[in-house]
Amino acid sequence: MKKLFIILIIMIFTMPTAFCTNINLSDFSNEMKNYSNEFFPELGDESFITSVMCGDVNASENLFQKITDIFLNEFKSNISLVIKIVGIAILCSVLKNIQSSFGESGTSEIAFYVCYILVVILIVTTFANVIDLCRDTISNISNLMKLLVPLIISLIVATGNVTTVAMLQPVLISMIALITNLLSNFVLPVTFISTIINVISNISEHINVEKLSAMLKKCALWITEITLIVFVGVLSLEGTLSSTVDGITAKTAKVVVSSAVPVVGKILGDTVDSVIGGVTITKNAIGFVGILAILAATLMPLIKTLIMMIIFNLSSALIEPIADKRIVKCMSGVGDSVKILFAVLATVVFLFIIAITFMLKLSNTALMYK
Amino acid sequence: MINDLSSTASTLVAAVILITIIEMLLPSGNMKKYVKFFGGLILMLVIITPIINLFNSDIDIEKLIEENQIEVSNIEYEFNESHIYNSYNENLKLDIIKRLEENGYKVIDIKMVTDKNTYEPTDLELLIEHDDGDIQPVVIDVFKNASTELTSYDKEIIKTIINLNYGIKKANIKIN
Repeated sequence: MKKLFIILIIMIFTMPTAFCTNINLSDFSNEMKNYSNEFFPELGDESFITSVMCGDVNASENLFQKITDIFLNEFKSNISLVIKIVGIAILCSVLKNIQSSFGESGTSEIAFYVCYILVVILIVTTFANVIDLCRDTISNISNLMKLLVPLIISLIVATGNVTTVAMLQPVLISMIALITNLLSNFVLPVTFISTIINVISNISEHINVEKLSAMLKKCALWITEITLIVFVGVLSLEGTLSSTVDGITAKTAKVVVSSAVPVVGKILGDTVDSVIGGVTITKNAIGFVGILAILAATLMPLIKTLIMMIIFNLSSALIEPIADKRIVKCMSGVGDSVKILFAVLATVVFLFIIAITFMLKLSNTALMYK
Repeated sequence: MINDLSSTASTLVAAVILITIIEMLLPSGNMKKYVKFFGGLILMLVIITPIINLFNSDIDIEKLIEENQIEVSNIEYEFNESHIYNSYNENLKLDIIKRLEENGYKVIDIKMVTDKNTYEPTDLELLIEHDDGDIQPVVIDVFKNASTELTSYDKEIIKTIINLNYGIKKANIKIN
């Protein structure tokens, strides 16, 4: 018994130490204030965090109602784009029909080119706005995670799950940096290039580089899917091993302490238990608030991107009966690209929510062994 | 890497627009489809270039084309050379045959050796048919005692003709 005790003390002192920040709840809530908006207005309030800790989650009311309202508003404000495009397409087809009655085929081509250029200008400016929005959102989320992850990790250490932290921390931080860099600096430009190639392949009827654009789109989608799978796989593998180790270590330590120390052993063990329980509750609350913050920061861009996709596909469907098929192909190609942008954004949000939930859950399993 | 990709994309855009304009400007005719074909080839080249650069960074398409051009022009030069040489030989032989026919000597076979560099004929071998109305071509041989032998007078005449017209030394001419 004595040997075991000495061994345990030595283990505790030589375990890898993780940093421990001073957890100041008001600092955290000040940071969260940056992310509160109309979806989750109470995000920055300290009282909200404390109420979450008590299990009294009164997150935003009428969330669904708000989402639908904003959806309709954005739709209405973007409907002018659809009207412009439909107008130009009607003009183009009228011009073509007039020209064919005059006989010259060269001038009808030029009329088509003028209308095509107008449509392309409208589309590409909107698309550039959407891509900028996505890029800003991804960097926002990355900043938020850089704030959240050290906080939650230090809380996990405070609950005694050091092995989890030792395995999780490098993986998590490198993964976050890798994913945001990859998606923001590679996938988004590739999507943009694919859109441009799609636009120019519809300038002339005989020159077709459609397959190149399709290949680039598939490439972008593949990379997002692969990052998703790899990330979730790595997290779950690394996490399951370490959480079990942590649970058993903690239980062993408690048992040893309560039976080795003569008088106050049992009381000591139980006090540590309740302290760890309290810290776990705080950690879970902060993690939950963090997830709400991620949602608050990304719900608006997600809705906007979704609406853009709907608008492009809708206009392409509306003008299909009357317009030249090249304009239709161009528009549906751009709609496809916006779909990929939406997928990228949704992947990022999904990944980070999963990451935080995983972190919380892994440290909670250690409690199961008590 | 993304800068490379965007530069190839802008090259591609510029190439497509240029080729579209050229296609538009061409009057319809026979040349149109060939121009379209070559435009497509150029586009394919533009798309392939970054892929090749990815795998082998010292391949330069322009250098490849230059080297191949040099090889092709070498082959052309050699072919032209041999072609000229052969056709010169043929024409010279035909000329000799015609001239000898005008003078009454029909040539069955002619072998000529020409210097490759100066294009001067050096050796000549003739197989003459004795033209006295016989139907059968007569092969003059030393061992035969036929009366259709070429007299040395005839041979002298032939040699003189050839020497005067073609500059071949009489000693180098063999007549059978």
